[in-house]
Amino acid sequence: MLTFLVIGLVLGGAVVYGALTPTLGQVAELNSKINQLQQQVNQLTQITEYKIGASMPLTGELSDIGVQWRTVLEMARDDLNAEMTRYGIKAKFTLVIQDDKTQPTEALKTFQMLAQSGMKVIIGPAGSSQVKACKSYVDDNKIVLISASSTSPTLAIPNDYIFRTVGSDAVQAKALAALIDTQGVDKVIVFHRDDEYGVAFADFFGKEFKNLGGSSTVIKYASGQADYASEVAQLSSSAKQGGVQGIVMISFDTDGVNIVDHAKDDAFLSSLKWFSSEGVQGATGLLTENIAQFILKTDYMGTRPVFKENPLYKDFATRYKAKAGADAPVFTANLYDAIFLAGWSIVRVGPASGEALKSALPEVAKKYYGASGWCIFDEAGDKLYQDYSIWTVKSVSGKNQYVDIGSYSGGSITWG
Amino acid sequence: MEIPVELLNTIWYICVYSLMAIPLTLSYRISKVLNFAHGVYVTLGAYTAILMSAAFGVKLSPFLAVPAAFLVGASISVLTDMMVFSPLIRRESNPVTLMIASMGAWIFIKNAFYALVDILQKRWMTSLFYTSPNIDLPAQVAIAGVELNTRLLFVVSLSAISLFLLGYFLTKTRLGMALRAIADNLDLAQISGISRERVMLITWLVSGGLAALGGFALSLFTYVSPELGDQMILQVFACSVIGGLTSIPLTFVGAVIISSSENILIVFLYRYLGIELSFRPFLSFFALLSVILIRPPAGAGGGLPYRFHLRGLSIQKKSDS
Repeated sequence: MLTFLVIGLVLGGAVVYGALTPTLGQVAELNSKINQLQQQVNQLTQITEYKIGASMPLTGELSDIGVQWRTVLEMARDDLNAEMTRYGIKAKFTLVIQDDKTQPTEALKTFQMLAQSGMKVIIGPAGSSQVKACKSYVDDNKIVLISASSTSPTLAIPNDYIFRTVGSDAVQAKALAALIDTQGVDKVIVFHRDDEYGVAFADFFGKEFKNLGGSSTVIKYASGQADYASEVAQLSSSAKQGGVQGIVMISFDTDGVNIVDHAKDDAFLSSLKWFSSEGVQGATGLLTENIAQFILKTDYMGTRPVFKENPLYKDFATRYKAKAGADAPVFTANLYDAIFLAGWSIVRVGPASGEALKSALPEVAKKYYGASGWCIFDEAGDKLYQDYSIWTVKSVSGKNQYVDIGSYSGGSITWG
Repeated sequence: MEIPVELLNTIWYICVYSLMAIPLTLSYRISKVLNFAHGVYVTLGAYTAILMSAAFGVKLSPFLAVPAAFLVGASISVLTDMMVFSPLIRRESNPVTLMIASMGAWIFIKNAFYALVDILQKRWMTSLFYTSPNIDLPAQVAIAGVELNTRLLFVVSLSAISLFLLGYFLTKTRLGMALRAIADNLDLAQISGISRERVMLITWLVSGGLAALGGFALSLFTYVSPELGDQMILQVFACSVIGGLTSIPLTFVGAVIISSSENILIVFLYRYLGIELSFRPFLSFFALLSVILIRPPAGAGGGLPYRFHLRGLSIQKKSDS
């Protein structure tokens, strides 16, 4: 009896096993499919984090404006992430901001470090000398560089990995020459920093001013010094000898403030008209009472890149002021848009290929209208449509502020 | 009568470089430490008045700013000695190790200060990265019919008084003579009962404080940034090297040479030889290299070349040993 029971159990077990095996196999297959589907669902719902690098002048000659730009980067990051959430895109951007000390060698080191961390698109650096120092590296390693403030015309080179969300100084030089011409000044000294930015700007300005019937001589000074008293003394002497009517200063913020600070104590320099490019615009040093008096006395005016009549810029400037407690200095809108262009390019083609990003960026820019206006690039990767404002410093409600008093667009100046 | 601005600038910089370079010479002469953190004391001195006037929102009296700057520079200098140099000296570290340690101290203090300035700038919503102190001094004063810059007069007076007091301290006081004894012959001085630790403390206190006064003096002339010390260190070393890193009078001469080359010689080179103004930074470097090659300082030529001597400008050369 027991034997028959055992045999029966064994035979029965074999039958059950044989019957269930296909079912077990199906269950396993089903489980596998469920796992796959789960992974796909996870991918669809999981937020992917992307990193954008930024090489910023938090110390050094552009540090006065550089620390303000850091606020802009943080604003842009937050706004971009909010936009991703609004559109249901599972992407989140973080910024890796490194200080390049406004030096070319440090900018290159920063780029190398960020690139080695896997970043294929990096915002910055600020200065044209720094961009030039990074050019070979980014081209060789297919890293997209987006500078919001490098303006030297010598870097307007097609088909490289450098993009600039600001127009080249070739146009700003025209604007500055036109401005000076409207002031009845036909003989100037161009006092400029001896670097990629200053030399190129002075060169282009000289040609444009000559086309308008003016004449200019050039004095260059070494950048990166603690003080420029000696250079300003020589500027005064040269201006007296040359019988010039105006000084055109091509500088960054710290050297520009230093030069103007010394010039205000010079009676002859204070009797001339002063003009400058955008480099010193936004520096808090120009807003001090002593220097503001000099600015008033010398009818100090400058040009800076801006896209006029832009409601997005007005909104950006208002929000920046609320966050930072000061007016948005130069290039902030360009920097803000640079983050958005980088972010949307990454969403389009992914973060891994610099070559793909380089192709995607101009396509994204074609359809992007931001705080700095249309961001369309020309064949050299520079902003195609760039207007310029005429700025000065005035007292508004008892407080010295940078104000725009005119604009340059399509070859002519409009006041007001 | 108008004084040429090149001459005025030269006077400014003679005062500033003297206040910055003489304490470097003093500290090396006595401690034998080539202190790369010296530039940081200059920066801290410049920023003491800036931060005080920004914190309280008032115009600061220069007679309050001066002792405050001195105290800050002196304190940081003494702290650096207590935490870096003294422990290494007790372990009988060689001068190269001490020099490298001073570089570490320089980088640490500089970056800590940068972080502090960044925090304060955000908190106070005011620009601190490139600024000047709010000092209660009138712009100009008339003396014998000549309009003079009050700040220049103040800085000249500050330098003259500081250097006079330093000279008096070193030559007329027991402690000053102890400093000189330690500098001349450490072993003999210690046998005579002079406390090396006490002397070193006083040395760092005085050198840090004076360097800070140099930074404060410069902040009255021009805008300053947290990189001020780094930007000035080449010129400061050039002045000290001209002084052989050991002679205070010759360091003063070095200050005159460097200041004159940067403000007068460069003008001559520009006007008559067509050399660009951007060549100016090279002049200090050229002076430094020339002195090192022609008259190597402090031991490179085989022993200390000059005896520390303040009476007149007579310098006795020690016999080679």
